[in-house]
Amino acid sequence: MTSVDLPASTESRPEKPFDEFIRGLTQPSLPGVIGIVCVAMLLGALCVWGITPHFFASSAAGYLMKNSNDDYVSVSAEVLRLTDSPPVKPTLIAIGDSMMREAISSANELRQDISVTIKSDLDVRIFVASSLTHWQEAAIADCVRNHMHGVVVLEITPFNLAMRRGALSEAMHRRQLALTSDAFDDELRRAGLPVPRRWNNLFMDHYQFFVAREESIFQIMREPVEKDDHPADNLRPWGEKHWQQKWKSVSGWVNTYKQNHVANLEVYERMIDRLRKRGDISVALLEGVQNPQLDERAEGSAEAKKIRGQYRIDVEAFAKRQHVPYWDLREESNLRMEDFVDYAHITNPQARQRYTQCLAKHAAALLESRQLHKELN
Amino acid sequence: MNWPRIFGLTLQAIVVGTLLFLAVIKLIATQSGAQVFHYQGF
Repeated sequence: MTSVDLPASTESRPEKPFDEFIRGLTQPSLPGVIGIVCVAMLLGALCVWGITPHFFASSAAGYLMKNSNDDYVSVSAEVLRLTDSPPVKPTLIAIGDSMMREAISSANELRQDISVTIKSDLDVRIFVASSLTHWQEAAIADCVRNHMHGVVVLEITPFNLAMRRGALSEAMHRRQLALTSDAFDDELRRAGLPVPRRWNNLFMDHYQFFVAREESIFQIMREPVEKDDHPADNLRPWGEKHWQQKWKSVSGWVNTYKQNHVANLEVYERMIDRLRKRGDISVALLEGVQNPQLDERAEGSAEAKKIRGQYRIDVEAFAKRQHVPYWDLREESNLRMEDFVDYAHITNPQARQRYTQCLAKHAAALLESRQLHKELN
Repeated sequence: MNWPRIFGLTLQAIVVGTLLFLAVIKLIATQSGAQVFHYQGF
């Protein structure tokens, strides 16, 4: 026996299975690297092929929502749900921002109120999201127009008409909505902004929308998030101090009205034209809901008063030219200062109910006149 | 076939591959400025 024999016998002894497993798990190797790259690519491919509009709308949206206020996910999913399985019944679609979201009690309540008047059932969908711009309204309207018949209510506000092109650029860069629309691309083109390449694939076309919510992968085991219908209920009401602090910034939003209102009204004009192309959709313009205190304060400022007065004249003339009704339901709904939490968001349930009933009354009249028009022709 | 080693390699590929995928996504999100819109509501 020599000392040389001992190491030789140790080398030839097979390793324990667990040691082999640990070696495979921890040591870098070419097969390991190939496997890692393959898994990463497979996950990417799964996103590209697996996140279809149907899957997103029916299953994934609740998991992708960061919280109950992530309303751009819910509105995208609701629009895709409608295009995926179009309603058979006449449909009323209301598109707007948080002012509309907080003013209407619920789609179901609005549906019931209209159904009672027109004595037939209909489908009501409310597509609302915080700070939704009229360019995004155009994208939603464009997505739904070939999948419904009935009435589309478009929110219009002085803030919309005063918006600079920069807001469109921001909306494009942020990719807030996971919706592909030729109308939105057309608006980008007209504004001289680059039109993103379209891949005809939900994930590829809106990868920023999805990658911004990458944390949802870790939250796959949680319950899907339910959207909050009235998140303004959680806000603290404005006191006199708040009004003094915020009034200038809110009234400042319309300072660019003179420069931008013509171009923004043209966006509405194109939106209305597209909606009416097939002849089975009536359009109505709905004034955004603002706190009466905002009007009261505007009375005290010559500039704000002038802009608001001009806005009113312009919108009424525009609605007349386009042959669309323009509904400003604030007075008719008897909205009072105390019904609002801030400059524009209703939190009083009774005020919401009054507003919803008023909207239902006007929508029902429009639906009935459509029906009459159809019967006469 | 050295099955224990293959299991080890597979587990390594799944764990590190998923981390690589997430890192690439994070990089894309940062590069493209993608972010979830949060309404401040004053």
